Amino acid sequence: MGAGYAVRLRLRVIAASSTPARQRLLLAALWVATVAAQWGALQPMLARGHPQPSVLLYHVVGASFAACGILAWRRRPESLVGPLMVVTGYLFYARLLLSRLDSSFVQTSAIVFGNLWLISFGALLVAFPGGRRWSRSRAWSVLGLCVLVEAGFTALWLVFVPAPGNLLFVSANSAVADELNRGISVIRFVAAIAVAVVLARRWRAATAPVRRACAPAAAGALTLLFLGGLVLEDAFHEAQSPFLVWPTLVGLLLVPVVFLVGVWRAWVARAAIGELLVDLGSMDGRSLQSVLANALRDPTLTLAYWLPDFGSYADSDGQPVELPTASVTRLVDTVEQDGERIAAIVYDASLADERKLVEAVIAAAGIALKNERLAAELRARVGELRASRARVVGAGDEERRRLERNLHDGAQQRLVALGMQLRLLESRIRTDPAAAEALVATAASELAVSVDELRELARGIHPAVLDHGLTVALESLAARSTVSTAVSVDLLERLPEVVEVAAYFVASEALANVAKYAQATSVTINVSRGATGALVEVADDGVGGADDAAGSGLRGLADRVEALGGQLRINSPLGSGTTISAVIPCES
Amino acid sequence: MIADDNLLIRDGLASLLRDADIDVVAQTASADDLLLKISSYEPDVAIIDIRMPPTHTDEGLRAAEEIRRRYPKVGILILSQYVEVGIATRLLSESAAGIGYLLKDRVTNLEDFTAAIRRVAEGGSALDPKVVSQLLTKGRGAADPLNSLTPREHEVLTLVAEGRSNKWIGERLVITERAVQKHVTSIFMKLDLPQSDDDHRRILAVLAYLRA
Repeated sequence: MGAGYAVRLRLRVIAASSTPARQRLLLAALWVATVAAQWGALQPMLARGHPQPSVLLYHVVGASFAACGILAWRRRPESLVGPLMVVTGYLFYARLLLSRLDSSFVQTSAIVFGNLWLISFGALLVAFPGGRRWSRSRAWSVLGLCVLVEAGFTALWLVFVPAPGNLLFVSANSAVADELNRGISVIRFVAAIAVAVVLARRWRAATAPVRRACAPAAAGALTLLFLGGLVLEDAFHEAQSPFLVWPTLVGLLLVPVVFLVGVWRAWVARAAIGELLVDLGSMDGRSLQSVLANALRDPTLTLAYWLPDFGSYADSDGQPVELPTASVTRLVDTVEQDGERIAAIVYDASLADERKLVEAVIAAAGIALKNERLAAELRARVGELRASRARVVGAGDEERRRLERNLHDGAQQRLVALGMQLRLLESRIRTDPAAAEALVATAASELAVSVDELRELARGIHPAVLDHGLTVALESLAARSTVSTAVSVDLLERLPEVVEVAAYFVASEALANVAKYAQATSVTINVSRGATGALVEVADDGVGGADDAAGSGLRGLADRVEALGGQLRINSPLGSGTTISAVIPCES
Repeated sequence: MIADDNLLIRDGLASLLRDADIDVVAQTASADDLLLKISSYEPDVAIIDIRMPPTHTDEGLRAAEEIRRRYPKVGILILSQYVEVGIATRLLSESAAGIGYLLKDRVTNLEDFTAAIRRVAEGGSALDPKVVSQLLTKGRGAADPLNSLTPREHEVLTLVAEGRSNKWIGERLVITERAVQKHVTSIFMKLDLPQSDDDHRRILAVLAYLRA
């Protein structure tokens, strides 16, 4: 395995060394190794004097990868980008340096594994910038397959190539060797295209910030395509045209630099935390969301504040928002402070490698975040209050409309009809006393019905029976209920009038619901005085399953109770009856 | 023909009208059925409640407009539990000929009510006194020419607006028909309205003036 193995081993060592001091030591060692390798690569060529410029450049490619890789590694230790660049650089050197050693085994290995740098270069392109799109096992199997194909083909090729120190040589056959050479070239070219296609598809699906971050990978893919073309031309025409050679060389030299810049820019964003602290001090009406978006250079960033009382997330205006699920393009983190959920932050997947930065930004924004959440909660409450006020007004209008309709269709019509009957009576009373008698009888019963209707309507407007106290009112309510109802009122003194009215309507609406939906056989109404106010509880033994969203009756009741600063609770498990309890605060 | 969704009212009204020698050829509780029956009976007058199923809002009014469009010869008497100037305006927007709009309570004054039915049947008009008084009492500037009317002229104007004929007004106020005509001419002069002998054109002019 030679150099590749050694490097990977070293990588594992470095990955394991988590303390900054040891990491710095290892990075220093990598620097030394890089300088030594570069000197080793250039020394013989310089000793011969006047090397071709293209050859000279080719020998610096490894240094470009290794040096930029080490710098990137230091800036972003948690990212794969730095290590992959270093590996690419060292693998690139491996062939140049190992082939000089006076050992057939080493020389043969150097040729067999000499082009593995291409594979780590491809992996670098696919992994940048977020990486980790593939599972570990999938990534390793793809890598393994690539290494197997590349090394296998090269080894097979060596079987037919007579060369000094070639341990694999069996018999010289230049025709087969050429065919194999062409085969591996085509495979390499196809692999380059595959990498380009993967990146292009990712590009198409990406959001603007991701595309910007993908630019280095795009430059790399272009270089890889030129390199693939160069390899093909070499295999089929045994030539290397300058218009392929130069772009490839320049590309290979510059791509590591471009990658480093990409990493650097993300790192520069860390300086934004300082800027963020200044921004947080003087927000000037800007929202925290826009300040954080600016700090993380992600204009699509959104904040959602957790409102525990509402059991939902809301934006800074207190409007409820639905959190998206994390996806390839969007990441979602919840923010907790002292074990308490505060907010959620939704941001672009290009920041996947920057989770530490995101964490730092959120930590810096800590108090501001808490304040904004309070503000959001306040706005949500105001919004709910406004909605409930509108509902109360709407319910009042609806109630008046109902009363008008009842009067119009009921008593009013009956009275007009009664007037007409009296007129008929007037004309018949002398001529047809029998008919007149029948008319008087109907008129009297019509009148009785009208009086009844008017009484019911009046009760709907205000329960006059309340004048005699809540107990009497509830008992008469219970007497009218179609379901057997027991009333127990445990009060030392009368409640304030508004509380009595609210309690009466809670009981009356609850009983109406019982009659309509509950299929209950008995109901109990309990009224008592608690520490926080009057407690009204209506419990039935019916089918349960009631909620305030379904029937506007219960919603309206909740509004009425909440308008008095109270709370209405509905406990209605399916099959186990319904208990509606209201706590209505009252002074004195 | 009577259209009202309340059976008591419908039956009571039919009995009353039969007593007053008015044939009730058909009754209905819905606007759709009303249009159907109008086409087969072509009655002289259709007495229509404003609120009828399904929405109990203005089905009766819309049916009336439809009848007016399709059977212009059928007189329309709208009965309602309440009277509103806006509804009168809508009803009389094109012509007052053969159109009446009365409170349901007026039914109990049988004589007056049947007179209104006959008037509408003959192409005249009947507007509820409540609508007229709403129009007359509405706030106006001090320079209003209405203020220049004599009390007697005021009385005559009110009755003209209700759609009464000169003859009826004369009988009611116990003056000659010619005296009524004199008052009317004077009123129209004072209000600067075009003269007209036609009762329903006269009512439109007065209403247009009062609404302005």
